[in-house]
Amino acid sequence: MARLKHTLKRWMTRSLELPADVVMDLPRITMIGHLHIYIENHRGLLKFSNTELRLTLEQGELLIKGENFVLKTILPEEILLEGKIMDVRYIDIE
Amino acid sequence: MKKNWTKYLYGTVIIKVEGEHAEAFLNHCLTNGILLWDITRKQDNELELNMFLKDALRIKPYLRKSGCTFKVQEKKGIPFLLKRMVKRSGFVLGLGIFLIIITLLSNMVWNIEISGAEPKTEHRLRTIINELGIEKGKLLFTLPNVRSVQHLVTEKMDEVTWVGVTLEGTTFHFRVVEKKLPEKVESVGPQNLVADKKAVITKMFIEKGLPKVEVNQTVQKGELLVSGTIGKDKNTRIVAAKGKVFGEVWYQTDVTVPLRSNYNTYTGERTTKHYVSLFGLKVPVWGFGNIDYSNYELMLDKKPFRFIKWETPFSYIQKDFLEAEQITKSYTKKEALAIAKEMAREDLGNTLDDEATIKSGKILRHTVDNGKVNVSIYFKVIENIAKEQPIIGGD
Repeated sequence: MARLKHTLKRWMTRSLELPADVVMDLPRITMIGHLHIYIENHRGLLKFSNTELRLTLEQGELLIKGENFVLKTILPEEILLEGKIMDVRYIDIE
Repeated sequence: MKKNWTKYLYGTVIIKVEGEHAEAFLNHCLTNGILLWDITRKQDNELELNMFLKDALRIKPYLRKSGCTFKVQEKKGIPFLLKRMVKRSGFVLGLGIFLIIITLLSNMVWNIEISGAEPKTEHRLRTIINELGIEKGKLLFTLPNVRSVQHLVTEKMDEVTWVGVTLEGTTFHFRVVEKKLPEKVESVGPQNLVADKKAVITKMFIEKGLPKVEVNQTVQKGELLVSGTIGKDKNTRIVAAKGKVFGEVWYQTDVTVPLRSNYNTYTGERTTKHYVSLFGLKVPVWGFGNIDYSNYELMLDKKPFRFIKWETPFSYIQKDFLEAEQITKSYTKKEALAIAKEMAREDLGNTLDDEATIKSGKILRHTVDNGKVNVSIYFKVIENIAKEQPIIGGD
């Protein structure tokens, strides 16, 4: 059933040209150079340190690596991270 | 993000969260709507983060759930400032008292300066000022305003022509212009006395000189009254003739009196309102209600509240509403004539010197037009008609 729903959503974004982040609850990530990274639609923190930030997503996880990390703002669905960002990686997606 | 001043207003804290699962604590905060910002990891199991003071009081259960402990690092904002102020109430009280004293001192009379007055006048002026209550150390609010001080002082001091009163900061300045009576210059040169105007002589007091006219004689203007040349034949001497010759002089005065005249008088009823003004906004303090006078005059008295040398936007305003009455007076022709005569007599009296006496007045003619009575009055006046005329050259 869940699988069917997922396929339907995917089909909707393709054929109806709806934004994928709205329909499929995907994260929207905005980066300003390597200084800021702004993540919407996350599902909570897993790990935070000076060099690493791990977030839960609707599907899988997001791993950001770098240096001198500071969480400037943190809201239920948004995160603004500041520092030197070197690596942004998705983990465990189908 | 909220603006910084709201953070300052509500008060923020920086706390250290210690524990293995600090991230879980962060997630708890997120789901329960606790705002966090500027989160950094200090050590492996220690996070530093900012939050509002009001939120900091709710985090205990979330800390327990995630097995963390916390320590307050820093407190910022007005709530903590107030707390500190209460703790140091002595200091705050001192500051308040200091400000009150400074404001009181700024609104006091500190000096009374008098310039342009002779010692005697100055002493009299000082006693009058004291009577008005202007003394060193008096509060400016309790004193009458500068204009009325000037009015009162000028009224009370007969020996001065004018007193200018100004208030500069905390100093009252009185500038006095003293009456200087012109000294009579005794002319010492040889002189005759001649008639100043056409007159009938009534009395003569000759101190020096040879009278050339007699009582009841009519003299023309410029006629010789008393000669400065005395002695006979070889013994003639020329002296300064001196004396007074009184003559009967006629004056014609024209006066116009309206038959109807309007003028305002005060009934003596008054209402006073007090205001405290801030930036021109008047807040009534005492004296409410409407003015039920149909006719009134408004007297405004504004006293600014000073601080050191500045005038603060605060001021105290007193409004006096004086009930006025318009009175219409109408005269009959007979009354108007009597008034005209009185007025003319007064007018004439002002132009004549002290020695002159008005003997009688007679209405020559009168006309009435446009509600006015025009009267010509003839006055019989006895005055000194002698005028000095120097004798030039000797013959």
